[in-house]
Amino acid sequence: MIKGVSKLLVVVLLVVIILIGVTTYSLVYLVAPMQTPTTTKATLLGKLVAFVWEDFTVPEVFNPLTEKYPTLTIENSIFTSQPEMLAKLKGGFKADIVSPCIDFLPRLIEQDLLQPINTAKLSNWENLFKSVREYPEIWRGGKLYMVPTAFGIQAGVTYRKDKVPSITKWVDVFNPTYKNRVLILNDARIGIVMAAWALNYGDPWNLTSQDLQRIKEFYREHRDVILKFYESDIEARELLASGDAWIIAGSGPAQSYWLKSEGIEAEFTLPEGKGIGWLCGLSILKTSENIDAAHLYIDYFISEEPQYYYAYEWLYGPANEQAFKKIPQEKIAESGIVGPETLTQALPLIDPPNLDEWLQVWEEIVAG
Amino acid sequence: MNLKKIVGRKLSITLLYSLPAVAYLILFFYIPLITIIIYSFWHGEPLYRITRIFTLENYVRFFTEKLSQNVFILTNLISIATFLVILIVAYPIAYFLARMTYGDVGLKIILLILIPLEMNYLIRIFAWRNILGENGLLNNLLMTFGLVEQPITIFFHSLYAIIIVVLHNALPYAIIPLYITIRSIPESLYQAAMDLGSNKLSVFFRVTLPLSMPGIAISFLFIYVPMMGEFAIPALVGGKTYMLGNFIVRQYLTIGNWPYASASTMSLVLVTLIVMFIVFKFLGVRRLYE
Repeated sequence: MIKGVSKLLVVVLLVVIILIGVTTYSLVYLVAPMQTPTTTKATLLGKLVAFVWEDFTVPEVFNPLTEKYPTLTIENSIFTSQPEMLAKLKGGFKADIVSPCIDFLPRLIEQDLLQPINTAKLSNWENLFKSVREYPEIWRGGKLYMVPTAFGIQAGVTYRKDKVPSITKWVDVFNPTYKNRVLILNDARIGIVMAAWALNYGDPWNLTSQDLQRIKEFYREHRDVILKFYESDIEARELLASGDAWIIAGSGPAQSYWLKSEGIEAEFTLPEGKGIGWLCGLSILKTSENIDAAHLYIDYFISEEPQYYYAYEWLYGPANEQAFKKIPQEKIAESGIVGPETLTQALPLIDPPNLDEWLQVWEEIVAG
Repeated sequence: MNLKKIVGRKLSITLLYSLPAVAYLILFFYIPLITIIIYSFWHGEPLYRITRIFTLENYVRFFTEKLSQNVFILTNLISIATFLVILIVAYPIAYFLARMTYGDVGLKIILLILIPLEMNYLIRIFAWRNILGENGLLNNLLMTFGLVEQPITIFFHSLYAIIIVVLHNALPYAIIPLYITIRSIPESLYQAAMDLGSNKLSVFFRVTLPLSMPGIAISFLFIYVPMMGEFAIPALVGGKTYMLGNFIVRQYLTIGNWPYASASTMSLVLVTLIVMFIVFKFLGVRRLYE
């Protein structure tokens, strides 16, 4: 019996080994030759690994890039949050390009993960807004470390006009009549700054331990108005559309634009003119082995067509001045696409000096 | 000598058969688990700042800090409350199927109860969002029948919503062990109890309930253990409710303190193992496989 079983086992194992061998052979020798023409061409520009937000991989923008440079093989690796991106890079992940935002750029520079960008290799550099090109935080020691691609405003308020009369001050968001109707962005920095504005702090990035405790107490007192601390914009929009929530605190202008297009009476506002600005772009990693291709990649994303696409379809503020000028005025008016003046008017998103304490306090706020 | 050969061959065949399973477990279970254990003894700070020095500070912090204590206690309370609600619903169903149906009818009905589990877990949760929302099916029905004038909001993004969704998801895991234990109680015991003067209520409390304790214990483990680490249901329908699973996920992905997150995970594993030991030791679970 045992002998029979072991014979059967040997036969099964042999079949499995043969199958694996045949499959491997097929993949290596049958599929690979089909890719040969591309591979041969690709040797001209080579391979580029882009470690980026998903935005940079949408077919509408990415396909024209691969058509424009058929000899460039681009491998996209996507991250969904900047902490995740930093962790992966620190863990030894090798890529040519990374897409940080202005709040994480100093960390990347200080941890020696980036190399300077040569603007002479970017044909579209001069087409960017002057204020964007000269934005101080993208430069360090006279060297450029990030080419801005988009900017905008966040930490504003989107609300249902049919349910909420008006929001003019930050404290209005926490009005007890909106019991279980307010969504707060689950982000330590933005969440604390919004409460600091409600409590009339002048400089919300410089909060002492006592101030943070006061903010925690403020959230505790107003916990009844909060429906949930949200993390997904799509979820927040869905909750506002269904009427379960009336106010989103911590949103950009795009939410109200999309809600309006679905027939929902939504309004975006920056109470007391206070909001947080964001600026994101592309950088070249120290590990890059294809510097020329990295510059080509960046140059493409700051060129007019992709810039116009992101502005028109995704409502990002375009870094490219020509792309901004092409957007119809009506579109700008109804969608709330912002110009580069936002970068000087809004509070920039940065790390407070006592960030660890902020994170701890925010966890306590969320946990209630 | 022959015996040695036979035993040796049997052993080698057994080892060969177990090789894929062992390799799978080592690769996808033990190595990640050991990694988590190692991380939990390192010093960590937010945003992935890790120092590779041995320390117990993460465990001390988890068991002494007010935030983690509160989250831990709340998660336990929710898990136990959820189990009790499910037990109240599942027990009568299991009792009915085990005692009041003939042949394999009970088993067929159980198969029907299992069908919803074929649907994707997240889709089931999202379906409940549509049912429990302010303009959802539940409120529409209540208002149509004139039971309420205004939509009820307590069922959406609340603790109640968590219990309702878990009830739906975990009900079969409670019914099946209860059905098996109740059905395994010999009919003669009921007859003996009745012959000795017990009424139906007395039979239930003196015979059925004590002998179905192993089923209740297994149901408890099936519900309590996953609930302690649950994060999708609280995140999608729980509103402000913040459970241990959410706490650990945020420590890993948002705050980026992996050593502390790992220590929290291992503490959770430790606590659930202790609970499992107690349940197996004192609630007669052994009777099920003896």
